[in-house]
Amino acid sequence: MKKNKILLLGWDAADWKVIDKLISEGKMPSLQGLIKKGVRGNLKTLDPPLSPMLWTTIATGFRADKHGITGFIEPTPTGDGLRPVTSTSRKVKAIWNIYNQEGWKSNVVGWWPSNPVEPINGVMVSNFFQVANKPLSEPWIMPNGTIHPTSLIETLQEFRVHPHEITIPMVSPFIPHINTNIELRSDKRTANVIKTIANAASIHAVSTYLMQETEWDFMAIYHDAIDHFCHIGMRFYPPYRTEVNKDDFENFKYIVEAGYRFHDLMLHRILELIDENTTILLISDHGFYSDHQRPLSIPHEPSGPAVEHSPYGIFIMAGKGIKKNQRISGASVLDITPTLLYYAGLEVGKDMEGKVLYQCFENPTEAKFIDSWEQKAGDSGQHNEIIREDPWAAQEAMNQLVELGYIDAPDEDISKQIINSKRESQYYIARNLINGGKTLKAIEILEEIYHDSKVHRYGQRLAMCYLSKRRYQHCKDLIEDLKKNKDENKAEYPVNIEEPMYLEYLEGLYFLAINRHRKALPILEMILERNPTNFHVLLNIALIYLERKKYGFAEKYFIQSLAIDDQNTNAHHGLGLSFLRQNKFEEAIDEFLIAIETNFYFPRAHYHLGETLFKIGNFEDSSKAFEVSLRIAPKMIKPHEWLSKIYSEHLINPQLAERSLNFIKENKKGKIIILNGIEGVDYSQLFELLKVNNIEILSEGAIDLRIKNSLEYESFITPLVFVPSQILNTLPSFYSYLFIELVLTQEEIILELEKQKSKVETIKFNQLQELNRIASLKTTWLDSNPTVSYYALDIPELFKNNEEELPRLLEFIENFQQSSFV
Amino acid sequence: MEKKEYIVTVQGSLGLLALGHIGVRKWREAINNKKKVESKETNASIKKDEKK
Repeated sequence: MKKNKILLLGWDAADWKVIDKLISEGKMPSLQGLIKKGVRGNLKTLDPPLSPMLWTTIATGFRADKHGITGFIEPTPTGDGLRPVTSTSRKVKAIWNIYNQEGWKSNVVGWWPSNPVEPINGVMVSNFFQVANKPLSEPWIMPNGTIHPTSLIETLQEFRVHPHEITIPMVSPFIPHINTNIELRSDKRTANVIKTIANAASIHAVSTYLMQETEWDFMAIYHDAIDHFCHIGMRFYPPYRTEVNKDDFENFKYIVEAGYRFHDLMLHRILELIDENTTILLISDHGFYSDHQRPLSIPHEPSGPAVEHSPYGIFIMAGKGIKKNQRISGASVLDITPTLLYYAGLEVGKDMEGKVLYQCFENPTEAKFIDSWEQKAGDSGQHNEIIREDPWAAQEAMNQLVELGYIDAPDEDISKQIINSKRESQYYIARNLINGGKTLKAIEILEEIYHDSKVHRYGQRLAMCYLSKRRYQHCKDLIEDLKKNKDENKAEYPVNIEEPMYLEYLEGLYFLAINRHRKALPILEMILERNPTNFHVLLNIALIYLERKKYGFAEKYFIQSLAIDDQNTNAHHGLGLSFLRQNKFEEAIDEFLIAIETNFYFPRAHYHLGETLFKIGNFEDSSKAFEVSLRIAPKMIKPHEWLSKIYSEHLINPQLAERSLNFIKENKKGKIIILNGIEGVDYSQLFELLKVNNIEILSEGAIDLRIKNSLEYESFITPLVFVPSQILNTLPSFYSYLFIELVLTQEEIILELEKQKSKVETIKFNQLQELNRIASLKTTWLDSNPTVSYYALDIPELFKNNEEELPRLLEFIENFQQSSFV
Repeated sequence: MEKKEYIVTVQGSLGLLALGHIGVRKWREAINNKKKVESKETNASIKKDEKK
């Protein structure tokens, strides 16, 4: 029997919105045929959506902090300049290295970054192969490190197509008026289209040669042309927008479509060259906005054009053992390498951050695992020494990045540029860490680079991190600092279309995070008035209304936000929840299903789908939805509460009912509300006010008794206890906590402590340092208890305005009492 | 594999580029052939002029 082969085809920035439109018009028949033979789905990208970083994630299964490719450029080994990022910076094995040490032959073409080429068992053609650095009349010398083995240089170099060879008939599908309008021939955009056609043709020609003339088990081909065509031409893609020059629109409106159709033609040839024993994966690293979400301008910052990238790329897999004509969901760029290893019958690295996409396979079996491929010895074909590439070739590739707007033209002051680039690279790593849930590590990086540079983008991300880690005072201070140096940054970054009015936006989010909805809402509405299509603002307004149980308003804003981004999981889930709470069950089901399709690993969508199905009496499907939510988040208790009811009263499955009941008994210990403050501060006036309003503060001893009773009696009131920050770490982990922070400024605390100083010995007089230490105890506890609900109770505000503040607090406590335990 | 007939012109086409290495080779062959023909014609014309 012939061995199965694998072909991994990368189309940078390919997007379903454009593809589906062209397929419906019969303009991408090859791709249409491939989709029918296999599975298709979205491929979730990572933040930041920068191609060298993402394609390395795809080829390794690791994020940037582990794989080491952090952006477009890197310093030269001598440190006196910058160069395009190289393969020698990759710190981990790529899929072809692992295959190599398992005896597979691989061909790799154009992967970003792959220069200098690695000495694998097979052929590697680097991403410098197609770059033309001289006019056609001069010798076109292949840069060092472009082809492995070097014996193939002479054969393969003939397949390079020089931009000067591209003819008018080749360009006219992209720019039809080029036949008649001579001026168009000297247009910069035309020149970029020509260069992109030549590059794509070069990569394709060398690929077809290697497919046909060499033996291979695995082949990876990377095309950057769709991304380039889109950066040149997406602003002119129909429908016409009034902000775009009408003549430019008429001249360049076919660039994107022709780019995709050219790829379909190339795919046709690729499919001719493989047989039934070859499995093909066609993927993109991110999508590209093609509708009303297209930005009208590009931020004046490094990697600014990435703002045009959308969060979902494409995923297609077809071949032996793969399901036919089906859609899959939940795939991420992190999953490609684990899936390729699994498909090849090899172990998946436990240290890899992605998962095997079992849902693609007709008869999936359990994957085998290895701790790490990095420790497994063998001939992996990796570099064993640093190879310096031709600086001219590197320089030309840099120019290409400048032309595309990915990087700034080199500064005269090169050392300043190197420092800025290093910071930028750190910034990308921090964003990648945030994206991977490693916010604390990201905070360390962002604090350093913001402190050194005061660049607003860095501070902005840092403020968001503080919010997510509930470091509200830090966030507040940072917002003030950002306000102070706003004008300095204005000159450097005049346009920020990602988050317009972002200081106000941050302030709104800050108030939202500390549950001051009444302060947050007018700020967000003011931003919305000036930026009516700001998705994030709309979403947050919708979430406020959802929280306040104003479901009609929530529905309206979720719908508006989805009109801007119809693939956002949170918005679909929020809209579904708004429908569910208004008893619009059918509409709710639709929204939850879409949320699941956009992000399968979102347990709340499955959970609420289960709840909705229960309410319409579909207990069978309801139980399935709850079970899925548990597979994704096994520690959730609430699905077990529903399931125990379904299995005991409707589906009559005593075994499963008992399983759920046992889980609840073992895990549901109770809820506690914590009033957190500083030991030594006199809160008696506050406690008195709360007591008058039926909020009783218990002593520690009374809590145990109350909790014990709570498990025995139904009439249970959640205990509320004062816990100073100093002893937070002694709290047991098996309770659900509502954390009410008693907010006073440092000055107010010091004043209070001075009043009490004769009674308190532990607090010394130079309190600022001590207060910071106590604050960090609180932060650490909150960080290690991410599911804790948080409420900021501003004491002076409460006394000043208790008619408004007190009902808000009571409502929050009531919501907590009624909420799920996790 | 099914054999297909293509007319390859010196101007080439996207379809030709999409054929990969075979397309690029055929296209360059067409260009070289044309150059040879043109060169022969030029030589013939020079010889003709010389005879005159």
